[in-house]
Amino acid sequence: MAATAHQIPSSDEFLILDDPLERDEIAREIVPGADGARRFEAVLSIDGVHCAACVIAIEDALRDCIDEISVNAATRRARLVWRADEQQLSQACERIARLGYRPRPVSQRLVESAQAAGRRAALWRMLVAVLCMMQVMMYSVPRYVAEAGSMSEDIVGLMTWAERILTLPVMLFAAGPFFVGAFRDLRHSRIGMDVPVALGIAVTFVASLAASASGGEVWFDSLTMFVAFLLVGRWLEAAARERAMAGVGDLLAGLPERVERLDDQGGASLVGLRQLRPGDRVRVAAGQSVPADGVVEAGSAHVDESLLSGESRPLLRRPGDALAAGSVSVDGPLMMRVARSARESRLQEIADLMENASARKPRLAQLADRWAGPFLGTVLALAALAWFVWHTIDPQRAAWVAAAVLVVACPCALSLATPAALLAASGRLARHGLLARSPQALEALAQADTFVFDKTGTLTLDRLDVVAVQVHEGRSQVDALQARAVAAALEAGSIHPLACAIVRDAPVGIALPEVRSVREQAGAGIEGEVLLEGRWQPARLGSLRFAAQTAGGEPLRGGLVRDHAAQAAGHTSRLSDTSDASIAVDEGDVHLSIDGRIAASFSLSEALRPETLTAIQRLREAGMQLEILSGDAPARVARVAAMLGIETWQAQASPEDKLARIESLGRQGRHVAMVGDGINDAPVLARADVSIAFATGAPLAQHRADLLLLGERLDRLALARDHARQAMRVVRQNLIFATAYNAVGIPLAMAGWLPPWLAGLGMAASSLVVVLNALRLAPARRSLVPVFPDPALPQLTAH
Amino acid sequence: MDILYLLVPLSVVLVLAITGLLAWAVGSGQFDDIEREGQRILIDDTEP
Repeated sequence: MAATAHQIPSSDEFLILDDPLERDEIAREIVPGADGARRFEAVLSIDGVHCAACVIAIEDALRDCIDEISVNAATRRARLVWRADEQQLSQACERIARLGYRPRPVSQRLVESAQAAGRRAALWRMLVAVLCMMQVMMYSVPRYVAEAGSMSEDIVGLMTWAERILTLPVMLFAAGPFFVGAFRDLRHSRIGMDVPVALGIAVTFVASLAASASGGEVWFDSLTMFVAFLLVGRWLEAAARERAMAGVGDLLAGLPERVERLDDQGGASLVGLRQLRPGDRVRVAAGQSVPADGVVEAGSAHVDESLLSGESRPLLRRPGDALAAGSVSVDGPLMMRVARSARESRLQEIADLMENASARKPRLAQLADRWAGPFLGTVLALAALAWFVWHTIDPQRAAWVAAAVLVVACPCALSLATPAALLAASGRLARHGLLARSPQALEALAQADTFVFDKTGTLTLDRLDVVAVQVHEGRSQVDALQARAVAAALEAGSIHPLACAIVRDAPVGIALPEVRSVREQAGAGIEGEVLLEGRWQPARLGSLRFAAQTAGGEPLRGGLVRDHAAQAAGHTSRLSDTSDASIAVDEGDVHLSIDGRIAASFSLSEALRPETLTAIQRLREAGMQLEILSGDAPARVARVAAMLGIETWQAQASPEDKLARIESLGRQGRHVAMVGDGINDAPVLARADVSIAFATGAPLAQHRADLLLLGERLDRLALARDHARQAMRVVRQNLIFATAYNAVGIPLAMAGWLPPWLAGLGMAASSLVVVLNALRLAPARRSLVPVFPDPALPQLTAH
Repeated sequence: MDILYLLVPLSVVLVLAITGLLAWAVGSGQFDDIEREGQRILIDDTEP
């Protein structure tokens, strides 16, 4: 990193980024704003960003050159938004480079190799520093333990020379990044994290050199020790940071590098993942992951989709079923046809979204960043003050104390406190099928005390179900089971939602009666002939008027018997327990007439999602206020609300009504979480403190909600809230710790009670504690062996 | 104690030599992925 920071790349280097082809690789177009201009969004990885001061410098430099810029110190990622026709990404990159940082578009494979090189360099620096530190300690120990006069002048001189020689690699090489960083900061006249550290190191070194020449006390041991501690701390911190981010990387790491593509002759060849095109046929071996979105052509296997939806149970996939990239075939080989290339897959969408979210900055972190500059200025002033004061008390120690003050102060811990925790938490939520579009979403979710639900498609499934069958007793030759069978047989060919519900309701284990000359009358119903008791009888299914037409307008009379066999599924039985006849009429009722007589009536209504009850219950147990805001008819909303025990509801609400309600809740000081379908409800969702939607259908980028539920599992809401609260708890702990550390460390150092090596240890440890605390939130890393065969190892051969 | 005049410079040289050795080890990627080498034995390789 030290090497690259010196070379300012030529401006041509970034011009290629403006090429439309290249741009499509690294950026994606976002929804146009009010002015209708085309905007692109890209995430850059920026080498050399260590702390808040760097972040502010970059953001300031780019503010007038592109539309949006936000840099995250924890991830070293920057999110840029620019207008396609007026602004250029190359220009932005050039400005970043001119500040002394190194921008790289994230989606290039180059980034990974650059990161690996950076890791190696950091590791070597650390090892050099640690090794030299140990040996310098060896040479200095005799000075501490020997009785005065027992060591000859020559021996002392020899030891000091040895110390000096082994300190050189530490100063010239290992501590390089600190000096480079400080130099960069000073050249742009700002104070970054590296300035006090570099100043501390330099002061100690120069003072020791001067002392060794004049025979005074030397601190080479302290110097090497704190450089070593700082580097170890940075190394561990980088490793932890990488793990916290692993949620994003892991997603795409799940895709195989090479794929077995089948040609028409039945032969197979290994091709790269990027070479897959829609329409290609691919074999997925057991234990391998699916390379692209597509459809099963042959074979069946259980498929683990936990990466995409958080669903932990493997699901059976048979020919004709859809497969999603990144899911893993657990127990069998599958032949699939690719529907979309890897670049357009759902998995890529999810990864892009997380990448984006991690580049945004939560409010608390912005606050910490704002204070970092003044904080460092204060530290410099305090160090100077300490030096002057100690110069009058004990000139020997003045340099030593000033160095300790410079080194102990650590805004790093402050600026890492929030992003590290939120990052780790979003990684964990993603494992459970919840995507946070921004870190703020977690913050807001943790505070939410009111959950407002849309009804259709959110609490209920977007389809109708038969909830009750009423047989008109005494006037019909069929029982309820037969009636259901006849109806299902009539509707078998229809795609009308009502028809689908009736077909789904067909009794299990009974052969459907034969039907002939079935005709569908749009808007009215369906008619045909049905083979019952050995003869063909005319049958009609539809509205009461339609069904009764051949019945000669005969009025409906007689007792209605509710058939409980129709209510096999748990949720539907609850539905009919609470519904009464008047509500049932409000639903779409369908009537069946056989041979001119009304035989049975089917009540249809929308079905609750199977997990809605648990979800509501868990939220209620957590003390949340629950509310339904729906555009649907009052009777239906009332019934769903009654079933779920939700007292506050509003029906026939227009989007304006919904907005007004959310705003009035906000005025009452409530923190509102709105759960809706994410697309139609966009303006309403935007007004709530945090919005949650199912990520179904449309491309993820079109959803406007803060949090997306990937697996259609409403019951994850309570879980999400728990995780968010835990994340905020860790953030608070981190902020308190970082503040307390600085508040205690700096006065101690000024009082001269903290030797520089201990200051170095403290600074390294404080950053580390903050990141490790955040890491408690990160998902456990799973073993890579059984699930994702390593592409670099030669087991993926063509035979 | 005269031996120290030999041993101390020798130790300095030794440390520098070890540093060089580490440089080679790091540079050739010995520490890039510590987990993988341990797991390699668990994976079948069908290629000779």
